Amino acid sequence: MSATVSVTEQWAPWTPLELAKKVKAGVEQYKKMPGLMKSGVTYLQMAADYIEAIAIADRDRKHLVWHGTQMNTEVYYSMDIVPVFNEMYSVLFSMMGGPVKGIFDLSAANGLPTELCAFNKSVDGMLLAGIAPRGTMASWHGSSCDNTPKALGNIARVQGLPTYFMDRPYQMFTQHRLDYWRKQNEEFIASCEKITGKKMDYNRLKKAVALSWEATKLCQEIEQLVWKTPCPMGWEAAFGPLTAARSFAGHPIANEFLTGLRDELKERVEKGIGAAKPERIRYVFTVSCPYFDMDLIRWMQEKCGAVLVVDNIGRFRGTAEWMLDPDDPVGNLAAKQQFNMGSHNYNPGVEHKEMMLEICRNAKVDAAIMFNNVGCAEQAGLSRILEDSLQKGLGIPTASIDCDILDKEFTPREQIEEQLTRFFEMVENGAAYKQRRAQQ
Amino acid sequence: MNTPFKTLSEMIGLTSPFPEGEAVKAWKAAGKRVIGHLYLAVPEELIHAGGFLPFRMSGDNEPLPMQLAESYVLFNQCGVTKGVWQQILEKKYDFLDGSVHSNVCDGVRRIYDNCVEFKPTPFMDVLNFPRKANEDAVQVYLVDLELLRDRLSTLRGQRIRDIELKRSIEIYNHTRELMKQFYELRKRDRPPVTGTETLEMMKAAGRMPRETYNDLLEKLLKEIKSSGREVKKGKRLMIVGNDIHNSNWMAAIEELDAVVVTDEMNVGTRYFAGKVDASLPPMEGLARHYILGRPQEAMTFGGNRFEHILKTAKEYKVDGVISENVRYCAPVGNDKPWLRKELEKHGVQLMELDMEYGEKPSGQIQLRTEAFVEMLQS
Amino acid sequence: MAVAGIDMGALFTKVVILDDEDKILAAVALDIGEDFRTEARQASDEALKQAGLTRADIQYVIATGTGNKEVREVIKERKIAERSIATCTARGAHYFFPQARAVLDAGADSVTAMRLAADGSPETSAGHSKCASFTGLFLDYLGGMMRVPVKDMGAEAEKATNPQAVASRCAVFAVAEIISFVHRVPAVPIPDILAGIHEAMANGLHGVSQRVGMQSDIVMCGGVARNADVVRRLEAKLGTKVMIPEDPQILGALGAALFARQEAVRPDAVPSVPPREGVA
Repeated sequence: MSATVSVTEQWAPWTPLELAKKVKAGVEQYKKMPGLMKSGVTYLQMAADYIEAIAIADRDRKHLVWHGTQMNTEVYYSMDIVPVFNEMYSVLFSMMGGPVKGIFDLSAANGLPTELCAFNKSVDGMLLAGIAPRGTMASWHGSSCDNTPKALGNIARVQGLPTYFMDRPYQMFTQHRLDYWRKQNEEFIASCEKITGKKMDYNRLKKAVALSWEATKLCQEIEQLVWKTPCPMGWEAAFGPLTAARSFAGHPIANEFLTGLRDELKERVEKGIGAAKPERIRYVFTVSCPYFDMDLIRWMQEKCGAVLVVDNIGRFRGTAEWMLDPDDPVGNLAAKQQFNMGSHNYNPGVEHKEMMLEICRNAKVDAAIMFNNVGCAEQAGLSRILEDSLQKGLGIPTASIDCDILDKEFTPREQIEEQLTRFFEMVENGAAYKQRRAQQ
Repeated sequence: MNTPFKTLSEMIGLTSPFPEGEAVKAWKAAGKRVIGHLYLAVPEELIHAGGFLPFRMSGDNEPLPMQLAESYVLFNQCGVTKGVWQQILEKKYDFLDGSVHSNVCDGVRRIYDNCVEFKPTPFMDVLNFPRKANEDAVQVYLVDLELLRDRLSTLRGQRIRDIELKRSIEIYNHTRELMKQFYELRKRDRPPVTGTETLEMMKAAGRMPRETYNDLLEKLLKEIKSSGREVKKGKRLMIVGNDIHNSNWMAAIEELDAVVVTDEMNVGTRYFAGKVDASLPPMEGLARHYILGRPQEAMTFGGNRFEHILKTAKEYKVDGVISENVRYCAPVGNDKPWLRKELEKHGVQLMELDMEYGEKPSGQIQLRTEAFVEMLQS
Repeated sequence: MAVAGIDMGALFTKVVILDDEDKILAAVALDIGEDFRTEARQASDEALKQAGLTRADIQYVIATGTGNKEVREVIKERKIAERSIATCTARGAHYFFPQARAVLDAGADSVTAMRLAADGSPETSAGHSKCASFTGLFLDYLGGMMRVPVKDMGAEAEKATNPQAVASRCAVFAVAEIISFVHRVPAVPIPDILAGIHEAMANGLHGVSQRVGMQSDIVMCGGVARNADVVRRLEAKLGTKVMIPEDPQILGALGAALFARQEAVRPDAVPSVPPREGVA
C-alpha cells in the first residue's frame, strides 16, 4: 500500500484538520449546555487542542509520533514531538460522528479480519482512506494486549515509519525484568534522538516527569472525591483524568486540567452536589467504556440516576509510588509502568480481580457493567473471573453487553438501553443493594 | 487408497483416546506426573528433565462444542485456547498434575487466569516470554527459565540437574532431527505420506513419553522408506497460520487432487526447526534456541515468521498456500493482509480461510478449496 | 379484586389473571401472527373469558416482555406500568417453586439465565440474544424444515438410534449442515437429525446457564422447555433435574401479575386505566 493516498470527497470531511474543527465545535456546544461541570468543557477543549496539534504538526515542522497505550508521553513532550495515540484518535473520530462503519469496511476489504480490535480496524481504514494523520515515527510497547503492538506495527508499515518497540515484561515486579524494562526505556529515548536528530534534554525530561508525578497524585485525589456519596463527577468530565494523565502526561495542560477538576469536585462535595439527581446506582466499568456511544453515560446519569464511580482503565494501580529518584527520570518512567493506567490488563487476572474488589468496596459500587468489545480477547477472557468475584465478594451483579467499541451500529442503542434498564431494576431489587443503602 | 502405516497406527493407538491416551494412563499408573503446556514458549526439555511428562494441550479430531467455555471467556476468545478451556471444563484434562502457561498471546495467558480461578491444579505457572529476539531477551528469558526450573524442582522434590537437562535436550534434539527426516520425504515430487498422516505423527509427539515417541518415529521412518509408497496428487499445498489439530480437516482438503506437503504451524515445521546447541550450558542453550533459534512467533517484533514461510514454501516446491486463521486469533489475523502481499510479491498463489477451531471444513470451505486447486491446475 | 400481567414476547403474547388470593384464574399464551394490538386484545379477551371476568374487574395491570418501541409507547400511553421480564420471570418461578435458585428462560428469540436470591429476586443474569442459534425460533424453523410440528419434535427425537451431531454453532451454517444430512445417500433419519439438533441446543443452553454458574434448584421456562428431549439432554449436562411448571410459557406474565398485586395493595396505588371495551 502506498504511504500517501489521495483523499476522496467521501472522506474529505474527516481529515485531521476537519476532525479538529468538529471537536472545537463540540466544545462550543458543551459551553451552551446548561448545568455542565466547567471541567467537562475544559476536558473537551483539551481533546480539541490535542487533535489540532496533530493536524498542524506538519505545518509546524514537528515530528508526529504514532503511539500505543501507556507510552510515556513525558518523553515526547520533552522533545517537542507531537503524539497521536491511536486509540484516542479513533475514539474522538467516533465521538464526533465519524463514519466508523465505512472505514471498517475499507479495512475488511483490504483483508484485515473483522473480528479484530476496533482500534486496529479504524486506523487501518483511515490509512486506506488517506485520512489518517501522517506520522514521522512510531513507538509502542507490548501492554496490554496482542492487538496494540500489531496495530501500531501496521501503521508504521503503511506509512513507512521508523519505529521503536518496547518489550514490556508480563509480570514486571522482579528486579531482572525491571532492569530489562529500564533498558527498553533507555533505548526508546535513544531511538527518539536518532529519529529526530535531537538530543534529549534531561533537565527538561526531569521537569516533565515531575509534572507527570504531580498529575498522578492529582488523579488519586480526584478518585477519592469521586468515591464520595453522592458522586460529584458528571458524565461530561468522567474521562478527563484518563485523557489528561495518559495523553498529556508531562505536559502542563494535564496538571492545569486536573487541578481545576479537583477543585471543582471538592466544591461539589462540600456543597453536597451529586451528578445524578437522585443518585440511584453507583457503577463501575470493569473493562472498557462505551466509546462507541459516550452519550450512554449521560443517559444512564440523567434517566437512570446511575453514576460512574470507577473506570477500570482510568486509574493508577495501588499506591502508584513511582517517583523513586527525581534525578533519575528514566528510572522513574520505567517504574511508572508498574502502576500505569490500564497496565493491570497485562498482569495476571488474579491481580485485576483483587484490585477490582478493593476499589469497588471503597467506592461503594452497586453494579458492574462490562462492555464486551467484540475484538478484545484480552478482556473477554477475564469476564467471568471479574463477574463471579464481584458477585460473590460484594453482591455486585454485572451486565455484560456485547458491542464494538467504536461502532455504534453493532448493537442498537435501544437494545442497550433496554438491557441496562432491566439490569438496574434487578440491582435495586437485590439484597446487597438494599443492605448497602441501609448502611449509608 | 494408501495402506495405513502400522507404526503410525501404533502411535495413534498409544495416544487414544484423546487426551488421556494409553501412554498417559500407563505413565500415571506408574506413579509419574504429567505437566500440560500450550504453545512453544515453554521448553518441554525443562519439564522432561524434571521427570514429568510434558503434554501439549490442544483439541483433536472431534469437533468441540464451545458453549461451556464461552460461559467463562465469552464468544470472542481465540478458538484454539477456548477449545482447550472447554475440555478442561469437561474434565478431560483432569489427569494433569499441573500446567505451565505463558504470555505468548492473550488467549494463552487468559487460560492461565481461568485455570487459577476455576480449575486450579497443584502446580500452575506462567512464563514471561519476551517479544523481541535479541541478546537482552535471551538473558531475561534465561533468568525466568531458571526461576521456572526452581519451581519445577520444588514440585519434583529434587533439584533438576544440568546433567538431566543435557540428556533431555539430547532426546528432544533427536526428535527434531527425526522430524526433519520425515519432512524431507515430503519434498519428493511424489511424497510417501499425506498431510493428514504427518499431522497425526506430529500430534503424537506431545502426547506420550518422548523416548517412546522417538523409537516409534525411527521405526515409522524405516517403514515409510521401505514401503515404496507414493501419493499421486496433482498439486502441492502448504498450510500456514494457526494450528489445525483436527485431521479430518486436513483429510477433507486432501480428498481433492492435492496433497499437503508442508506447513507453518506450531504442530508442524515451527516445532522442529533448528536445534538446541548442546555445546552450551543447558539452560543457556534452551534460552537461545527458544528465543533466537526457532521461527519466531507472530507476536515477536521484527520476527522472522514471513521469512520462514517463504523459505519453506520454496523448499517444498508448493503450488499454493492456504493461509488459515482461527477466528479471534489476533496475532495471526493481524498478519494476514501483510502475509498475502508478501506471498503475492514472490509469486506464491494463496487462498485465505477463516475457520472455527476444531471443526471439519464446512461445505463452503470445501467448495472454495476445490476452486483454489482447480485454479492452480489451470 | 383481580389483577393481570401481560407478557408480550417475540412470538407469543401471554396473559395471566390472579384473584384476590393470588390464585391463577386464567393463563393464556397466544400466537396468532397478528399485530401486537390485535394479539394483546385477543389474548386478554381469552383470559377474561377463562376467568369469567370483564375488563372492569381488573384493578391493576403490569406489562412486561417486549423491547419493541411501538408497544412500549402504547403501554405508556395507557398508563400501564412496566417491569422487566427478568424480574417478572423470576417472580413467576418463585411462585411455583419457592426453592428455586436459578431460572433458565429459553424463549423464542433469546435465552436468559438468572441466579436468584432466597426471596426469588434475581441476583445476577446473563443472556444470549445476538443470534438465533439455540432459540425457540430456531427450533421452530428447523421443525418446519423437517416437517415435524414443534410439539412433536421431542417425542420424534427420542426414536433416534444414532444421533447426527450438528457441528455448526451458527444458525445459518447449521441449516446448511442439516440440509446436507437430508440429502445424504442414504439420508440421515429424521429422528437422528432432530436428536443432533437437540443436543446442539442443549449445549448452547448449558453454556448460557453456566454464565451464571447454575448448579441446582433450577427452573426452566419458555417454549423450549416443552421439548422433553432438549430438557433431558440439558439435565444430563447440568447433572441435575430441572423444575418445569405445567405451562412454562406463562412465568413472565404471572410475575407481572404478582407485581400488579404488589402495586394494587399500596395505600397510594392508582389503578391502571383499564383498556376500553373492544380495544386492547
